[in-house]
Amino acid sequence: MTGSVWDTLGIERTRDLKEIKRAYARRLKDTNPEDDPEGFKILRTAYESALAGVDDHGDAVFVFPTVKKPEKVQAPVPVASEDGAAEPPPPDPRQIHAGLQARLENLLRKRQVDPDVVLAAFKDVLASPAMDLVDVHGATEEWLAWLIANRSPRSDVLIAPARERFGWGGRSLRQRDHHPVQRILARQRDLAFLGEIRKRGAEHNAAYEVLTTPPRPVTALGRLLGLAPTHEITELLDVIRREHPTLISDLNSETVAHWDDYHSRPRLGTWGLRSAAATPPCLLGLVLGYWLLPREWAALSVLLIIPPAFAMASLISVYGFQLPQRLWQRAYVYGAPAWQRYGWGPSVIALLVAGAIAPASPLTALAVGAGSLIVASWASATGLADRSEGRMPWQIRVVFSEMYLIAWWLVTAFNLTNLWSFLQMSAVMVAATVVSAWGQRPLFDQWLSWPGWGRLLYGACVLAAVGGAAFVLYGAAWNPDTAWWPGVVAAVAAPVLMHRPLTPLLGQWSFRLKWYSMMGLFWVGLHGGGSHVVVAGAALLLFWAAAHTVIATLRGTFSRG
Amino acid sequence: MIIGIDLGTTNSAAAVFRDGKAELIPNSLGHNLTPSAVGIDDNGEVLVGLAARERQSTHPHLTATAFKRFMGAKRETRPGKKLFSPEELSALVLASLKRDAEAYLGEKVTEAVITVPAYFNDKQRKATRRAGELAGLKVERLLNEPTAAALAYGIHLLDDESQFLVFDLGGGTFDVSILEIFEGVIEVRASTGDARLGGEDFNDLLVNDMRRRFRDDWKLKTGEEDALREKLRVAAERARRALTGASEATMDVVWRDTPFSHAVSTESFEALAAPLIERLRDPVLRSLRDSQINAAALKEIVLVGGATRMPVVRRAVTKMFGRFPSQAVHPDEAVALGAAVQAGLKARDAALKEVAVTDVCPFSLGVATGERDASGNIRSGLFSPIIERNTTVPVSRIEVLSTLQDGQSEIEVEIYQGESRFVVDNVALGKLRVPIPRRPVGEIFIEVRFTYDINGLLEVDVHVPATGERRQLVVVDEDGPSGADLEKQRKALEALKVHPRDADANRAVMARANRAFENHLGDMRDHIARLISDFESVLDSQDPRLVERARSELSSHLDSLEGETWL
Repeated sequence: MTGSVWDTLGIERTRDLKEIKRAYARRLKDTNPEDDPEGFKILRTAYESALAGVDDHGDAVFVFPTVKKPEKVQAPVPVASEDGAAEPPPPDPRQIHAGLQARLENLLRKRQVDPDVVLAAFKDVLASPAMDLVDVHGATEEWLAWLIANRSPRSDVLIAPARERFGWGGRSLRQRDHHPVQRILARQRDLAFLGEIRKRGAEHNAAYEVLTTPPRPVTALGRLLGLAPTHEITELLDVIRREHPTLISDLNSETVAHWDDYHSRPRLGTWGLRSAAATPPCLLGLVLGYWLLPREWAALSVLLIIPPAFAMASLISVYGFQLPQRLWQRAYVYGAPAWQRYGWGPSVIALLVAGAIAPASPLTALAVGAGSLIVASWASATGLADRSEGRMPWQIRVVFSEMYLIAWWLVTAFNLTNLWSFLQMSAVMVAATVVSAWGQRPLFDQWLSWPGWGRLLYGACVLAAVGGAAFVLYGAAWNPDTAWWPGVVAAVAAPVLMHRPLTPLLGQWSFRLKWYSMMGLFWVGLHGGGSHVVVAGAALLLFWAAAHTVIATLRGTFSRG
Repeated sequence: MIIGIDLGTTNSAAAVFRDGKAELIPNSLGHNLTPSAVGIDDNGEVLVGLAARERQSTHPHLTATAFKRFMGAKRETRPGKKLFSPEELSALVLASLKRDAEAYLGEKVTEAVITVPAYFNDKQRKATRRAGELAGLKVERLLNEPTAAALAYGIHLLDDESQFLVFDLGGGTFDVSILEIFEGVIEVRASTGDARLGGEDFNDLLVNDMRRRFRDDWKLKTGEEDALREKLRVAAERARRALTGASEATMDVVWRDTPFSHAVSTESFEALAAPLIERLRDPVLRSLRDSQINAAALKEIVLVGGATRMPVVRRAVTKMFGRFPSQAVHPDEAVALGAAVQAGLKARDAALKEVAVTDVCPFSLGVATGERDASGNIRSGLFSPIIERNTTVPVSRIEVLSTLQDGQSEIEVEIYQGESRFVVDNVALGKLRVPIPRRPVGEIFIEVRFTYDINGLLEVDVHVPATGERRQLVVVDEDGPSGADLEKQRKALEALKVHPRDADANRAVMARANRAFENHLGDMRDHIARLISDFESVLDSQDPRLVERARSELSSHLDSLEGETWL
């Protein structure tokens, strides 16, 4: 539509300010903003980009005063009149001002300096008569912002008075883009935080004390007795790094490095360590109690199983999940083939089927259990945990968010008489829980990038997989009355498993769908005998979900075209 | 014929460009300035101008002044029985100026260039435009006041190459503009200001000072607040003007037939005014920064606006720049003259063929956005400017925005104007919703295009590339009436009985005499009463020549009593 900048201006490429202005003025007479706004916009853009290439604008606004060349702040216009040679000329206020500025700058350059002296020098600068001149005022503001931002911590005393004088509130747009002022405001926030944690007994104070003294290695005994506030140290470092980054320099750098190294490796927490230490005596007590206590009291000694169970869970969490996760992240997150990143999804469905088909025996139960552990740690290592749900520990999150799976498992399990088949199903369900808690996010992202038919196919596969599993589950007690049960289970379970990928299509409705399906799931579990209402409801749900998927897919196809 | 109108807080003026130069249009009293005051007299007729202003302290409930300060706000004043919005009151003033212009030029006036403070926001500009339409004027352009003042000043310097600063402290607003002239182009480089700082604020200082001093003596009853304030305000205005020439002035007020007198010295006034003077610096600094022009490079500091007559303001300006400001233009008339120059440009007057003027958008325009902070929480209500302040207009700018949440189904584009990083501090101009396909966060983006035209009208276009959907919004004032309503309102205003123009002068003098009567006691009061009754008897004679003579006699008597009348 239009030619280059220079074509628009109607001149040859040049860096001559005068010539550009002249050309612009000439073109402006017939490309008037009143009559030809579009033409003017093009002309103006061309003019501004031509100006950007000019070497010297000749009117730089604020010149930073430097100590070596104080005359730089002088403006060419003399203030004092020329009195003649008889009297000595009155001192130029700008000169005095530059001298005061130089004094303050020199003071802040020293390694050790008395804050009161700095404050007095600062007040002298602000009180100098030249501050009434608007250009000196502006230049001094800029210079002070730069000085305070770059001479921390010696300049910390000046932050509050300078803010008050120049109104650096951080709310105006200019201050958003003004980096020295932003740094000063951040520094002030950080100093306020530092004042808080310096108070004895305040939150983070213990961790702060540790981090400001030279590093001392933590012994296993010390951790067992809880002498080092390891958890608090992590928290404080986290808070400082995230919200108060300037304070890092106020800590002992060696100690910080020591703790960073310490926390970078997965370890048993204090309570994990304690319960591990308590495991041998607890197991001994369990055995002794079984042998020595009277029969009616022996049951109580079962309580002693809690510490070993906790130690076991901690060990699995650290070495089964955290360590593989760390290794995976360190080795290669991207670039790994898709089956490595998402393979746990199909695997858990395969396990579900295997757990249900295989005859219940100690060997298969152990094999399925081990397989479940592998799949679960696979998912935990490669799937990114969804972090938007707050800081609740993952154990609690899993228990609450996947409650329906656990409940369904319990209900189903009570209907299974054989202990080994119970264990078999348990293992699979635990793996499924972990997968759904950890692994849905990447699956969901992957799923979104698929074409419409791929998404449909995936939905069909989930339905078929769950239906197949249920078919096998009920297949043991096959008779004509229960022939449709697998379909019911599939119809109800699939939306539960699928609700996340459906979110972008259904919005809030996908969560409602999940809840309705969960209710159906309980119904199925409780009333193994069945009712026609359930069948009808499930069929409706299935139809509804399928219809929405199809519509959404079609819409996606059309709009993309 | 297009005329230029300066619609001021305290005074308004009209001017016309003809025979190669701008000239002011006198009103029916022969004055160049018409006070921006509207009153209702005892017969229910509308009074505009000096007559209304003189009645203000005697009939505070029947008079409205300084309504420009509420332009664009939903605030109605009640002079008399009827409720008036600020734009209706302004329309009455504009209509009066229009009648004066028609009488002076001898032809119909239908179009006008009206000036607004540079810092007027979108809503206030729309209200001003509506006021013009209500007065039966097609508003050809809304022109920024400092730009107008600069036009009046700069039109004589066209051959020069220079940069100068216009310091415009009016009755209610403060504007600073920096201009550059080169090759016949008058370019506004930056315009900033404070929409709530002006001569009225200086009056308030004196009013409050005097009220504090006699705190226990006023014995105010409820409902008398306005009356006292008006009386004090008139006295304060008088004292403030006296301080321009003298080092001391007194505020004399008669309240419930008790005289009160309060002496004000230059020093005490200066001490009172210090906080206001402090507020003058920030806009100056901001305009220098935005225009990237060094204070030393400015050729002149041009003072405009009645309030720059105050020595305290002049001293502050001298201190700020280390030199004396220019007094080349008449502070009260420059804006109207500049508006007339713009009208001449608009009408393509031959004398202005080689002149081009560009102006800026004095405030930032943008949208509300959110961002994720370090801990992943969404912080919303942030303001991202799309058109930065002091961009030369007309201008179009495009910004790309993206979603903040997974599966977001629509984006709401909220449009704001202001200089704060947080939208709560800025002025909301409107909003626009666009549906978008649900996708993970950040995958969908929209293009928002802002177009700001030469009159300060903003147009917003939103384009969703993923669906090809387009939405458009011309930011219209949601509170403003529609076209049909506007027409109805105009008819209603036209139907108001306006006092006949030829009797304006008599009304003004009578109002002034009545005010003087209330403001004096004893013998003086009797003397004024006699003067009034004499004048009334001459009025009854209905002989124009006699009336004319009696009026000027009464005026000179009053002048000798309380000093010259002022505008």
